[in-house]
Amino acid sequence: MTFVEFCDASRVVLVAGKGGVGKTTVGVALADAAARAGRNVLLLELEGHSDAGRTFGVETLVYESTALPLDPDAADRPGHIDGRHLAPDDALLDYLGGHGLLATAGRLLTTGAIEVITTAAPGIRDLLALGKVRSLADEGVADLIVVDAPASGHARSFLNAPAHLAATAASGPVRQQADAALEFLADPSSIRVMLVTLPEETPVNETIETAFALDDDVGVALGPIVVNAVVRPPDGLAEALARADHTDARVGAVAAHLERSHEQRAQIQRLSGETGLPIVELSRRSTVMLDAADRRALGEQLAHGLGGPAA
Amino acid sequence: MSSGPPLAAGIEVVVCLGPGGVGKTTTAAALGVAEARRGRHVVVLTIDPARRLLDALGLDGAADTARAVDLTAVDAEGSLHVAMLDPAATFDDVIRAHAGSDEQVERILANRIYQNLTAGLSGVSEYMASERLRELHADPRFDLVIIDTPPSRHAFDFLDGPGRLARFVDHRIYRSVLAPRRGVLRAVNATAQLVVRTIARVVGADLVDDAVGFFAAFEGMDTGFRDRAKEVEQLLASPATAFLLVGSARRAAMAELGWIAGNLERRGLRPSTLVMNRLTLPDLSAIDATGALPSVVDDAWRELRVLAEAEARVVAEMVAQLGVGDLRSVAELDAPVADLTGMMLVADQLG
Repeated sequence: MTFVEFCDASRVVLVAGKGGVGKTTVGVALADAAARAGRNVLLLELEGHSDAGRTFGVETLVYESTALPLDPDAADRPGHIDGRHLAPDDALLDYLGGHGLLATAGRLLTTGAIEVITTAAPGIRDLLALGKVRSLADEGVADLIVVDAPASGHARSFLNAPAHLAATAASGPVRQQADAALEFLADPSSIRVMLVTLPEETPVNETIETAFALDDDVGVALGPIVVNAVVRPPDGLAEALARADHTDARVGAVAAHLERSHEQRAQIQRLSGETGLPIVELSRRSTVMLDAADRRALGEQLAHGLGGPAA
Repeated sequence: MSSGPPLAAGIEVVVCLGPGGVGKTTTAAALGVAEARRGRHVVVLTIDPARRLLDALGLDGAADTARAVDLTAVDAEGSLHVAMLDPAATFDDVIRAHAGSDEQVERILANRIYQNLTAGLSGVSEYMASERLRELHADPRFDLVIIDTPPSRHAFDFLDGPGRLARFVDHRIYRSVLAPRRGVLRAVNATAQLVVRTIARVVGADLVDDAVGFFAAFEGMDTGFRDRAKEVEQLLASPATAFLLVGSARRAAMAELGWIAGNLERRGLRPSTLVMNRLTLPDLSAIDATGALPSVVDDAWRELRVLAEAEARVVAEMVAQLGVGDLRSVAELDAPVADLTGMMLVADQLG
């Protein structure tokens, strides 16, 4: 599969992973690469405010679409990127509006009636957010919608919400929403999930577990797993170290670093072996905030890993 | 860098907060070992411990009940227990302990909404973590409870958990729906019925019936939930509770830490200590960089130094931004913690 084929394979790519593994970075890099490949992208932030907007120089994403500028030297006819933030209550209000209940919605919120229902059946907010993603995909607002999903423990309950609610509600509007969402999730041309992790034991365990749970319980298509912050020691380092003076603290530090890169390698192999999914590696960077150049470089690495080069 | 014990005397609860993948659970366990060596009787409540971590503590699996860790190898005066949170079991226990009758227990456990709640939909494990905290804090075997919270954002479901659970069973809509049975004014009831009918149009009548049935099943338990919630909220806000931020000098982790600290502040809470894990070379300035190295090694060293310098800037920035007075820097381990000796390496760096 080339990268362009990857972009066109599903209308929605949901990027999921534990908080702190670089899920937002990967979502941003994917949006960047897809835009450079000529696709119009919607970057949709679902939970809490991340740095997604800031990497494009936009302080925070809001409910309304905001154009996110690619850098000026972008390729000839790049696509554009829009960013949106969808808070849980936004989807709920949209849904009520769509059911001719917008006038009542305010009152339902202020009386706390909505809270009763959403606490009793907490998946409803998730279900409606997923319904919103589906309707954006159906409206064709972009060639590709990149969703910065909730952190992965939560991504699992997020994606499980339709099945749970279908089991809870025997009929009625929630059941219809749940059934539609289940159909959407089961269709690889609609949505696929790209898990992001770090090459370390706990994140890898958690990713393996999430991959199996998503496959078994939700049946959603899984894309390649992105392993972030991979250390790549230079060739010949082990041989050079064998000849170096190990009483030198610098040599000790480099040797420990090489040791960790071997441990990383072992974790990546375990991830690949146990999930059977393709792996895309992104190398570790020393910069702290993602700037336009970083975004582009990461986008290129990602595009290269997902298929051919972005161009 | 600070030295000495990271915990002030008189601390009874430590809440470890941080993003996923920064070694939060290891930090919580290592702190437990360190405090047990100082003579404290510690229980670590963890959400989802890695297999290897349990092995390192000599436990052959985690259980809902607190299990003792054999600390003879590290010569501890105190003791260490580890308990894993099983939200469904805890919720069932809470219901059994506080329901008015066996019949009420049965009614709640059989309710579809209850089953749905305990089947792992968002938030429930966090409500239950606060119930467990209350239990463990009251347990005479322990004088220090260390909580390893769920990653980042969900940690706040935990902090908000007690209040949410109380509001949940004490909601005015629930009370007005039940009003006729309690003999409250009919006028109030008419409004409530209208609201319920509107909700029914939105989500479907059978879900509403289940929800009403669920709230009805909890009748009489609301005071207990409210009292326990207040107890946990007061404990968390009291000087006996310390909040420990655990992070690493990585971009994604930083953003999460800032978010966590901001949320703590909005609740009027302040972190006492920042633990920065997985630092490439926390003692960079102490390294003698004179003398020639083989060129490949030198290149690798220079790259490491650039990384370490960038991390040091991040750490300094984080300390300034979070306003945390006490910083603990922990070097990245060559290999994951495999036994108590490995745990001690981390514990020693924590102070």
